[in-house]
Amino acid sequence: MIWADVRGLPVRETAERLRRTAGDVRVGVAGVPVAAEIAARWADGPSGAVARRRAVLSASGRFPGSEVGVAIVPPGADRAFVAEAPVALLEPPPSLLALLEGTGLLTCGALAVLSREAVEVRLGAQGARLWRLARADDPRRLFQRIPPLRPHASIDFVEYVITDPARLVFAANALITPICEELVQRGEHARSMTLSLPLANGRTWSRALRPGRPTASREIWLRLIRSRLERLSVPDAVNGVAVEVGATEPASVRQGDLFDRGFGSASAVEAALSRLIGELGEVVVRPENDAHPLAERRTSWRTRDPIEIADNRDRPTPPEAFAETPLTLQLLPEPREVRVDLDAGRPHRYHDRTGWRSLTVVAGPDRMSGGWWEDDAYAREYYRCVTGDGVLVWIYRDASRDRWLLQGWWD
Amino acid sequence: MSAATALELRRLLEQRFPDALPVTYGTTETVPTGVAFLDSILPSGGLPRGRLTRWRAGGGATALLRGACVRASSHGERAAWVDGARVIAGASWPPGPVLLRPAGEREALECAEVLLRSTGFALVILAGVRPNSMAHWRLARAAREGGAALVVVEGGWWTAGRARSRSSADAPAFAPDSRVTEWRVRALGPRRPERSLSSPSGGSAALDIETRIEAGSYRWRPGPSGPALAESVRVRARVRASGLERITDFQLPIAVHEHRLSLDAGLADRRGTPRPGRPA
Repeated sequence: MIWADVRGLPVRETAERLRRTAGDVRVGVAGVPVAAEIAARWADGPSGAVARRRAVLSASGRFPGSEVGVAIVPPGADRAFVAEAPVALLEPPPSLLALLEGTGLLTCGALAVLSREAVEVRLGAQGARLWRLARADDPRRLFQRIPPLRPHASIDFVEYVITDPARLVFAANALITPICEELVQRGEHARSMTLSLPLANGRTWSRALRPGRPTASREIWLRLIRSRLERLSVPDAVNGVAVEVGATEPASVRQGDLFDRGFGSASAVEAALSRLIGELGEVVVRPENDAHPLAERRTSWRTRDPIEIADNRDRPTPPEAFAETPLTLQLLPEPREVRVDLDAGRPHRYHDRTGWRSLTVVAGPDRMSGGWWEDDAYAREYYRCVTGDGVLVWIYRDASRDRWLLQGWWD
Repeated sequence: MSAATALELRRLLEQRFPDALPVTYGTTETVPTGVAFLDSILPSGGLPRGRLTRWRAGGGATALLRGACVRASSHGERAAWVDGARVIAGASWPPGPVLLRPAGEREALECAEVLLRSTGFALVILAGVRPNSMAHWRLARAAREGGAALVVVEGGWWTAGRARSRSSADAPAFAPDSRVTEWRVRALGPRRPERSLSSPSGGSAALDIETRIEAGSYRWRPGPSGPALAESVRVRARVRASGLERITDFQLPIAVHEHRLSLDAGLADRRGTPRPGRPA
């Protein structure tokens, strides 16, 4: 016995073609495996059985005139079809078959009308399994679920090629609209899409696009495509454009917080932040700090999820919110070299881009050194100094190179 | 009524009723900073929503505005800080407010405008950039449309070489490069009397705030050889708006930046080891 998956195919034509192509075979088609199996085995049965089978088939009127050797069970008629079949076709164990024949249960229908409890008590677990099959209740799943086709669209430039990215954006705009509409109809959001450009040299340029969050928004996807095409650099002219959805997820609705004053605008915030991330890269960040001795190396910045921000998940608690607001250290992106005048070995004034700045108070030095075991040795003398105009600055002497640098200030 | 007549009328009213404030000061919704001394001198008790506030940073601006952001976040609203200069230290950034670190000035302006127009933020801080007149217009308009309180921090200490004034006495007047500034300038004097008194943005609650630290106001924890750690400082805030100029002083603590000992984790422990040339 060979099982074939004919979902999505014209049933009658496919079955008859199978019969003609394979020669002397019997073909049974049904929505349930046990019904299809009985149909195939029973197709050349006794004439009376065939007549009964044809009567069942013609009851629906959907598949009239099936060839001999081809039995097609209409959708929804599986149980009625199986009920007509001899129970022996279900291949019960010999002892159970003898018992069934002894009690007069010769057809599947006769067994199926009994209650499950009555069958299980008298015939045991094997009888209960047979009872299910007699009701065309077959737990077997012979074939996997067919994944739906991913939305895609493409256009080929048959008579010309394109070298202007603006025209590619125009073409992509025409492609992305039906894709997003299909996503909306399916109730899905796309996590990624692939943009492919067949080139005149026969190769294909392709890039994956990922927004800050899964979305079916045409605006967001078009913005990502435009942003990518604006930076496009390909070795040859473009012959076409293709866009295909890579992965999807169900569109979900978030639970709202009645006491969150920002919930009403969550979707707008999410869209705005996704737009910024899509256009400018990883600009929405949170710090992750470690214990590195050097201040400029303590923090690494991690991108934040727009959904997390839209949901206000890290809202500070009131005691934290009403705490004092101290002046904190601000760090220059890179320590800036300055000239320093010393007085008795301590900074007296320093010179930066704007001129000399007098220092009214100087506290320090705080010395630190290390890193030599990593070939990145440092030796610094830090001073906290108040400038003449009241700013508390943090400067240090780099002892390894004998120079002074401004690291930051308190604000 | 001509613009000159209107200005004259306003001057007379300010002389006759020095404590009177425009009606909008009592009706504008605000975002409090959480610092009582400062909120008490701000019109309506906070930073006005839907308006652009210019903050001239001379010390303490980051602390005060960060506190305002945290306070707004704790009340279920959103606050965002666009760090155009990328000087915010990670160790001092609190949970709650959204931090954006764009790569440049143009990107920072874009961030601020998108956040403002999203209508989802109560407070947006734009720091470390120097918006030109066109950018000011766009930001003020975005703030009005989005309903957020926008604070543009200008003249930060790190940009001293470019725009900073040494003291309030010799501070240059703002260039009339935005509708907000225009309002402020009119309150101080008729720099551009040919233009209408009514603000095209309706931004009568727009503010000009300046904070400054007095050099001698630091309180130090003494060490063995002089001052060791700065503990607190006195900040002077000056608030200016149409028909309003107020000054207040208050004390702010200073966070300690802890040095961390850096030693080689693989150093051998040589205590008790005999030294060369010395008996064990």
